[in-house]
Amino acid sequence: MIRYLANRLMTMALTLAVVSALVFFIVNLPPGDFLSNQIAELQAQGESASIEKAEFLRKQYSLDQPQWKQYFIWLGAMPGPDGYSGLLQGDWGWSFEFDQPVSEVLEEALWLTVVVNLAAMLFIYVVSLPLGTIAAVRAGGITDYVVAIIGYIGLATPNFLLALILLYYGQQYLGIPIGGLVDPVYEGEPMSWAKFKSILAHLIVPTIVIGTAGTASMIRRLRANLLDELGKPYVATAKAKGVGPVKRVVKYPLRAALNPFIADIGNLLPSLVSGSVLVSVVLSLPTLGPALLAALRSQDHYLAGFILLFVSALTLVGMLISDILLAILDPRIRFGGRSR
Amino acid sequence: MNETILSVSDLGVAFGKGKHRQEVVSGVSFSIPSGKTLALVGESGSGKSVTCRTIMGLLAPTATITRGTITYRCPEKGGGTEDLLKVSQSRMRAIRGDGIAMIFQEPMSSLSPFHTIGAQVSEMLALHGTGDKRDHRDLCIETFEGVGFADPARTFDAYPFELSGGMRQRAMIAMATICVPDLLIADEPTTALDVTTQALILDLIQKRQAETGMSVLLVTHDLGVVANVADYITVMRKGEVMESGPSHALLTSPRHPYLKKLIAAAPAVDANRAHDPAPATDLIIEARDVCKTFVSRGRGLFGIGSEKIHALRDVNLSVPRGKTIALVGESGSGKSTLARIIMRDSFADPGGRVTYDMGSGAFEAEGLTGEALMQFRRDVQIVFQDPYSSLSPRMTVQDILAEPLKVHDFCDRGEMRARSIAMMERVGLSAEHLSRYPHAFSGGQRQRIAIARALALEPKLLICDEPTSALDVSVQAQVLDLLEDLREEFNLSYLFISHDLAVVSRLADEIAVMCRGAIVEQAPAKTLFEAPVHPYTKALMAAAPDPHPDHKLDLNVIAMGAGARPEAWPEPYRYDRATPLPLHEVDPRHFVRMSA
Repeated sequence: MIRYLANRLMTMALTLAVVSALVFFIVNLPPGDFLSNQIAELQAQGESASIEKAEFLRKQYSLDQPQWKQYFIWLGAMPGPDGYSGLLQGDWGWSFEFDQPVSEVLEEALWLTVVVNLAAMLFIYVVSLPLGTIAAVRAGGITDYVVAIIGYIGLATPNFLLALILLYYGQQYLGIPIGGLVDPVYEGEPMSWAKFKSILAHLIVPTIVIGTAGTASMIRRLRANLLDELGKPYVATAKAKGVGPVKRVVKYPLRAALNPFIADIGNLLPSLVSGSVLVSVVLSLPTLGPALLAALRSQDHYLAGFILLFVSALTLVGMLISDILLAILDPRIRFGGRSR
Repeated sequence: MNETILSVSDLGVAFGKGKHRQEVVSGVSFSIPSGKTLALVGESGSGKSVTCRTIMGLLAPTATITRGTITYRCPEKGGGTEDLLKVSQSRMRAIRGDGIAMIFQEPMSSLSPFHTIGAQVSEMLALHGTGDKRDHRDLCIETFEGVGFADPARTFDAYPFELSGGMRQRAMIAMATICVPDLLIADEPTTALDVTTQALILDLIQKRQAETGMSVLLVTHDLGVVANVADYITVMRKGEVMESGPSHALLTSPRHPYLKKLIAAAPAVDANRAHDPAPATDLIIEARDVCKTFVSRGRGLFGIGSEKIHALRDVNLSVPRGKTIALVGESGSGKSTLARIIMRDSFADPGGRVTYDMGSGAFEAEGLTGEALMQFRRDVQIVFQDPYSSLSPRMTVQDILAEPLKVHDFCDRGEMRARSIAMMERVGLSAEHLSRYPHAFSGGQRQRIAIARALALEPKLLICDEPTSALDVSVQAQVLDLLEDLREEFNLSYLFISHDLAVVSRLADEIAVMCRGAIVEQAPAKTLFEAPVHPYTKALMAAAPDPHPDHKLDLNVIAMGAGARPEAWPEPYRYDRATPLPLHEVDPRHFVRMSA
């Protein structure tokens, strides 16, 4: 197991290296960069002092160097004007737009993104597991159709519309706060019980909104998998043994049907992050989605590059978690090398 | 003591709803005497499996029970009876596993892959037994020992996929009998197993029956199996009982024509064979020193600990023109690997050679390209085992038959139709069948279509890979007849692969018995059947069940060669897998793998 983990971690590091290169060059594909745009603008206005500052920044951030050199400096594998200072050294780069280090721009957004998405994922799993199971066991019955209709509505409703509706009614009848992830009072404050409660209250709507589409497709997938498994002979064996109806479903076929369910963790994360951009804008959530959009538009390339890399890292970690879980749950994977 | 433990009377089961409702079991009655074995015999579609699933309450939701009763006399309730079709769900759950247990046909998929054997077997005790967990483990291990596991403690912690098919079926038997049921329902328990394994499993069921005093309801299509274990027989056909009675009387003097037909069709070694043909020199294929080694995937990144598996070792085999050579062996013996090499689907390890001569000079297949390769593909055709999956369900029979003709640009469109009709009529079907899809045909008819497709390109060599093992016995005989006629008519040469010596006895001129990738005995058919030498050949012959009740399986002979373990064979045949013995010519053209 340790060897397997070491293997996986190594491939993960390699993948991240390749992804970082791809991300860097793709972000830099559009002609020009943030500073040259700014310089052009300033030149048009004839402000030479600011131009000097911009020129200084260009040097400082090695934008005058060839692109492959820029990449390695960004990575921290090559000395820049200030020596080795890149991702490997923990320096995430400079956001030109906000005139701040990337780490400071994103500090809040990073962990909020993780929190919102974990909450959405939990929501997906908690809701779709029982609904999918019931739909499969009662396949063809009324319950199955009701679940299917709920699922289709979830799939078909545009997320932002759902967000607006939920916000309105949530505020009207339940007093759920609107917008943001924390009450303005606590912004910038250190973590406290009151702030934590405020975050929880703000999380309810985003979690449901971001989670619904994923839940709907997950229910369909679980139902299909479980239906396949329910027809397998070992289920008949269990019944012939005198195993009760609930245990018969939960102990045997559900376990088999969970495999794809778990394997999806890795895929779910990035789609949640990118899919929630619109929702985040509507709900004014300070997550990575809107930040990425803004950074790409203004060609703030260190900021955009870092966000993309972070999302890929998140995906890889998700994949690793699902692989480990699969190995724990399925003895056929665990002992794959032993038999035959 | 001759009480009835379970009786089924006037049972009717139907599938489907409304207009499409179809009765698959109609008015079936039989009763199982306490401590005895009743065999429910019938071909596929006879309703025998549905009947025993009804007893267990395992029917699919689309089925409805239309009439009848199933009376179960529970000994624990002082001989009181209850109707299993009317008892409550919870009572039924208590009966399942404890009073009536069941084993299934497919040992591969009847056990959950997620739980250890021990967990699955001890679940029975948790559901129906008493005592604490430690006792459960001990009792399981004791039972495992009783069903013949060499290392019962290790078996307890093993997963099903770590065991062979025979071993899984042993685990199923252990699971079904650990609570000492009154009745064991065995639904084709040995059909998916090799013949020597089948003999041992049947013996095991009888042994457990003697130990526990349970009754057995054995569902099977094989009269040979019936003759060996059953006390009583009920013969079913198309959902109805044809004939019932004590096993010996029924098998020796059947009255109903259907049972007579079944007994006549049961495969048996043809005793009155003609003399062996003279040695032939005109060979269509000659395989010399063919080896095939696979490297199993090792663990870790660089495949450390990978292992070489010898799928074939030093196989020498030749097929004379116009003759039939049979390859006989159990699963994993390497017979299909050899067929694939002869098909040029894979290649032998360097050093081995397969030479062909289609009538215009000898050549090897490995370097063939272009037109020469297309010609080779036309000359060598194959008939597969499973006619249910070897014909595309989305093509009409006409398309299926015409496809090879189109691929090879064999003839123009008008002629294609004429050829398809001719082929259909030749295999015993008619031209009006051409526009139908495969699902409209029975297994035997589908195999006829597969044969017609193979013959469409006028091949010279036909490889038959277990062509009858998916078919009912009565159909099997017809397909073998057809193959025999076709060989004469088209001057075909056959490489016939089978696990069953009785099946090849009709057709084969020469037989090679394979085990663990090596030919252990090879001789002209008559010689092999009359004077087999190798213990494995003897075991294979002894393990084929004979429908005559006085010819029971000789387990001592079977045990000598069973399990395909060369290191367990008696001297002078024993060998270590790393260093096989040489083939030794004991008589002219009769080769046996042994130390001289």
